[in-house]
Amino acid sequence: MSDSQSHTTAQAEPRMQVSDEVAIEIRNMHKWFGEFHVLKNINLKVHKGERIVVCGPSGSGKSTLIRCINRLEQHQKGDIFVSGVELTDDIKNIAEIRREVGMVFQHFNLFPHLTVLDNCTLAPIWVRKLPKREAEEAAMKYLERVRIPEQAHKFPGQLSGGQQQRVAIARSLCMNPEIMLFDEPTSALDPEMISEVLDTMVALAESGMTMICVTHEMGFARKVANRVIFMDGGEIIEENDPETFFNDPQNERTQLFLSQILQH
Amino acid sequence: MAVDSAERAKLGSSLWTDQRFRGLLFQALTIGVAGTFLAFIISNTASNLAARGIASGFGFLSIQAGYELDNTLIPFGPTDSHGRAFVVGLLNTLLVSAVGVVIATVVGFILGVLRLTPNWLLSKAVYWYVEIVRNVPLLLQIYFWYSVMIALPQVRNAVDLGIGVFISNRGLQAPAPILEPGFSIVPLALLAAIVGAIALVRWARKRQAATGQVFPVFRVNLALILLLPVIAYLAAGRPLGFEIPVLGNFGFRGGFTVTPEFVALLLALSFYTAAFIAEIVRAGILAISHGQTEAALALGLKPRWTMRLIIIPQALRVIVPPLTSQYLNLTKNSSLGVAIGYAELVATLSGITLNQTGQAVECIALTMAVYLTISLSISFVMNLYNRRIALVER
Amino acid sequence: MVMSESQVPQDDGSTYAPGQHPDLPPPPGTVGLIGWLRGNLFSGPINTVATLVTLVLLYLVIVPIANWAVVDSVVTGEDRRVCDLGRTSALIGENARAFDPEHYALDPGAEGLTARQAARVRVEQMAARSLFLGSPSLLGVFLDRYAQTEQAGLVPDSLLPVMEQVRPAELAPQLAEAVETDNVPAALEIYDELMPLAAWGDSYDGACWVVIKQRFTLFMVGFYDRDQLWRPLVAFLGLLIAVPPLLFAGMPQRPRALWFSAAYPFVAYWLLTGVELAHGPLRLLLGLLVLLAAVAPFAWSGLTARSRLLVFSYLAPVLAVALFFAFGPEPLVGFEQARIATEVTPQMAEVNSRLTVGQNIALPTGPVDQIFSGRLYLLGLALSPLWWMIFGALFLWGLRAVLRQVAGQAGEAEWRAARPAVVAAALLSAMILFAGNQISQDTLSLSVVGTDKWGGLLATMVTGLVGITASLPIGILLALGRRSRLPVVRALSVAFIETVRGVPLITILFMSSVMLPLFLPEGMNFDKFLRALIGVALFASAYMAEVVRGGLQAIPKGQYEAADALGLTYWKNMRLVVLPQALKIVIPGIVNTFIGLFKDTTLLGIIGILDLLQVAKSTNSDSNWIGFFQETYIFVGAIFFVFCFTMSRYSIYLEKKLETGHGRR
Repeated sequence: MSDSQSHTTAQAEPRMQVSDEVAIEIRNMHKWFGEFHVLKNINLKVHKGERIVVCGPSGSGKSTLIRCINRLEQHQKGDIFVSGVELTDDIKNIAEIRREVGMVFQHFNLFPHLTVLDNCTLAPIWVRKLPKREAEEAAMKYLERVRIPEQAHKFPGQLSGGQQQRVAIARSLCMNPEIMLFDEPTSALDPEMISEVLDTMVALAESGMTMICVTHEMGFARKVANRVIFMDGGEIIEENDPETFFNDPQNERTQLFLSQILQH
Repeated sequence: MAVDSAERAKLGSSLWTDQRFRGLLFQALTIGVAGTFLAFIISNTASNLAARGIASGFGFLSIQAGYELDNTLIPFGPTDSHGRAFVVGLLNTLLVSAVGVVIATVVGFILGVLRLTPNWLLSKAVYWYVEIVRNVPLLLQIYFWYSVMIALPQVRNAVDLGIGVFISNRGLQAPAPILEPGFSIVPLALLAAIVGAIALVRWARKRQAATGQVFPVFRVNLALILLLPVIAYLAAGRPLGFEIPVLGNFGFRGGFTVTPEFVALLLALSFYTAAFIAEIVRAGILAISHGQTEAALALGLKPRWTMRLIIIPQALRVIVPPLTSQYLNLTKNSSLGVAIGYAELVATLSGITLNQTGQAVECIALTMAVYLTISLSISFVMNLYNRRIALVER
Repeated sequence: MVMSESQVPQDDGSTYAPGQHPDLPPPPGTVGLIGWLRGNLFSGPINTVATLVTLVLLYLVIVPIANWAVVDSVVTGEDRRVCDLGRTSALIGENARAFDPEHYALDPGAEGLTARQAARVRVEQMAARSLFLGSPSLLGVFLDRYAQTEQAGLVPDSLLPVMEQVRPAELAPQLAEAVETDNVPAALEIYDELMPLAAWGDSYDGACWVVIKQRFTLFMVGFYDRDQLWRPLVAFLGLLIAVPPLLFAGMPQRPRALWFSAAYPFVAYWLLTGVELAHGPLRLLLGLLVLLAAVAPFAWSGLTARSRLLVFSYLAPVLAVALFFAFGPEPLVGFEQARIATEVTPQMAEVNSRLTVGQNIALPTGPVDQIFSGRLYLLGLALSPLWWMIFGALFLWGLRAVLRQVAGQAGEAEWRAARPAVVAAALLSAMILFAGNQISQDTLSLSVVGTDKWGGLLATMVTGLVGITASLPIGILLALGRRSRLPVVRALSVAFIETVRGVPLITILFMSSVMLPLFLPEGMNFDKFLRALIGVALFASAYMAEVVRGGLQAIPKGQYEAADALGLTYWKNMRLVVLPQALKIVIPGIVNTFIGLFKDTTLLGIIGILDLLQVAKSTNSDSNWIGFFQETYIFVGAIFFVFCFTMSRYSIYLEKKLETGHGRR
């Protein structure tokens, strides 16, 4: 399968280090919602340190695809390997993978009854079994990285949307994940808050994190992605380096999509 | 017609259109109407009472009541006063409410959780059970359970459950515990176990904060609280005897009796309220968005901990206020015991005492005052709680 | 690279162009019946166990209930004889099976038994003994009952061959002898011979629906006059027409149907009580119309022909007084007159054909009662000179304003200043009409059926519907009062709402039944049913007020401000802007309050009104029907369930509808 793909990767000019180690491999994966064939024969290999942007019209299956990677959705056919571990019904495998994969949601999903700091330390304490002090120190480090350490003792309800999304990123980072999944992290935000979240994500990309990002922020894609994947109707229609993808789209549907989204 | 400036000035100066004056007038009128109405009622009542030769006041509470009551927590005989009958009624109301609240909560939570299981059949079965119990009047359920109790075998054919417990149409006859000297060690052990459990929780929390290790507090505590009193009991040489009821010619002798009225009222109240609690619990858990669960799972939390750390703390905020109002409803509904002759507050004070003394105003006012006190004090506590747990928002 | 020209490989080796992958059917076993079963019933070991346990439990619950309620039930006959026959035969079998000869042979006095063992042995021996000794008389009871049933010609066909086979009449003396001689083996043999009879009894041992059949009318209408049953029936059918337009916004012809709904209460009142509209509700309606016509020109300044209407407004009080005398003074609806008995004289009988000479009838007494009854109406008015003074002053002041207005001399401001006086005068005049509202025995086309005869479902539904209808407006007023900026109004509303919500309904009903008579002037009393209705309505309105308040709080402050900015007055703001939105939000809550109210109507039984539940209860204590409490309670429970469940589904339907309507705000 990966003829085309390795070709692509080789062609892309690596702005940041991409290792040969495979982080995620998806082979001939299918998924149905009832009778509806939502993901069709998905093949994808993500190397460590790669930053992939997935775009496509709504309902094309992009979110479902990345939700399959940490088993929030279950695939019915094909294989998914994350850091060499296969995703099966085995709860041990699932727990292992979820520990390694961080996820940021469109609607933040912060826990409203816990302070920002508690949101960040919850999983390290209960999953990684870290002492509280250590967990808090690590959390403060990441909160500083997303530039909101001063909000640590507030509740999520007291923060703006952009701040909440940055807390959500910090919360995921506190688990020291190897891979980060972003499910439309800026679509629920007011325009003036989008850039603060994107800045955080760019900084994260520069640190070498493996990222898969479902987003319509094409500027972000150009800037950090080393591959852009276009999905439609549950299929990967086209995948390419951002230069080629934006300047010379191959597939008709990609062209149409880009013309619609880049009109303004 | 053109309104000239003079007209306009006049328009503005009218007393009728002055907002403050209108407000005052309206309030004065309200007071006047309400006051007149009240005065009308009071004067009528006074003259009616005078015509019937009834003196007002609460003196009747110290008069000898001259009736007997079953189901009493404190001894009550024909020579006791109406005041004591009132206390008997109040205690009975509190008893059936307290036991009912416990049963209703346990059953309600179980039903509510079963409603949410992914098992379609189980969830549907519970749905229909809850809908049937919720949509049939409570009084009917009380009557039904009471008829069931009355239709049980007569005392001489009482069903023997084998452990000294007999069931008959006169209720449940169970062995009465007799405390022998040295028994006090058992409650002391229980107390010690509870204190130990609290200490353990604190220790476990500290240890987790320091080392990250999770200690199975719940299981250990459960064992501690259950086992320690048992061990103490055995160690003290089983200082507890039972008075087994014996079937004589005129019913049971010895043991203690749970009357059919109490059982019927308790069952009806508990199951009726449990059905409402089930809905509250279900709605409370459903109110927590699916995103919360997903976020917790994505962080690697196990489903059990997701429930304990994320869902339950948030769901409780939604559940507790309506739950309290169900508890209040249960307490108020316990007044329906009057329909089957359970000697609760309404039956004693607004029933027999009222009929004997004719002090309708005092009896009903006192009854209402008791319920109001209970309701308002619980509402007050609830408001404090709500203020404490309210989610901090911008 | 060029993706569009490349082909994507599949795991089976074939390839396809990107974007051309066909929609495949899902893997087998994930959709359809099997997929559904897998997903919902057998998705894991725990789930499978849960499914199986539930199935077993349902089997254990539903099968006996179905057997009892349907398969083994009895619906034939006019009384309990067939049911009893079945139950007795079944009992013969049960006792025979329960009889344990070994227990019978036990000796509680035997040596070597501890006190506890002895007690147990005694109990077991006593049980076996009473079964053994009781068996001949049980068979005797069966034979008696059979003879009675045979006499009535009600013996079920299925019993005849069994009787042929078993011949219990011949077995009875043998059994009696066996018992008398303590011959256990012989008795056991006879028990065996009786088994076919017991088997027949088991199939007739279910519910005895005859009790419902026989008392159906009582369950439906209580003691309502049996020759007038068409009236509640028609009223009920009318209800079926009157209610749907209120509930479903999308109904065809709804505006026209709503007219019927509006008229329905009056029609139903007339039908059920038999009190003629011309004397009861119609007069109320007439008073209302006069009032409306009198007030309208003041409320809407844009009305056409306003000045002419204004003249009418000032004639209205005069008209009201004239109407009052034209109809004649009669007692107020809902008030029972205090009665002084008097014997009907020939003269009285001559005037009123319904009276017979020598009959004892009642006369009203007491000045207040006389005022309300209208007999001494003029005296009543004369007794309150203050009332006359206020009335006269207002009348004159208003008249002057009206005349000047008509003459074109008065300005708008003067006119506005006089407005309250005019409205007050109109109100007072309407009161005259209302006070004269009456029941007259003389001119009736339908016979009067007193509320003391109402019962069963009729009483339950009337209470429920009146409570619902009355509690909504009172509840709205209380909710507005609670949010009023006038402290007195707010305090009174809060006090009322919290007091009523803090006490059980039963105390309120006791209050209305015991204390209300004390509150009224001596010699005046309400109808008992009306008293209960008042209690229920007040109770429900406190709860309704809280529901409505929830809706009012949910309306954003901007709505109030926008309405204020448009220059709407408080009442216009409430009526046109706030309440329509607030009520729409809380309709599900209102329906839930209705459900609670409907279930609470059962409490009327405790204060002595024969509602649906009380019919069941009285049936169960009726010596003719003792022992069938399951049947009656299940029947009544089913009726309540159908009503309440339907209402709760309706509330869910509305909630869903509202969600889609306002979901995107």
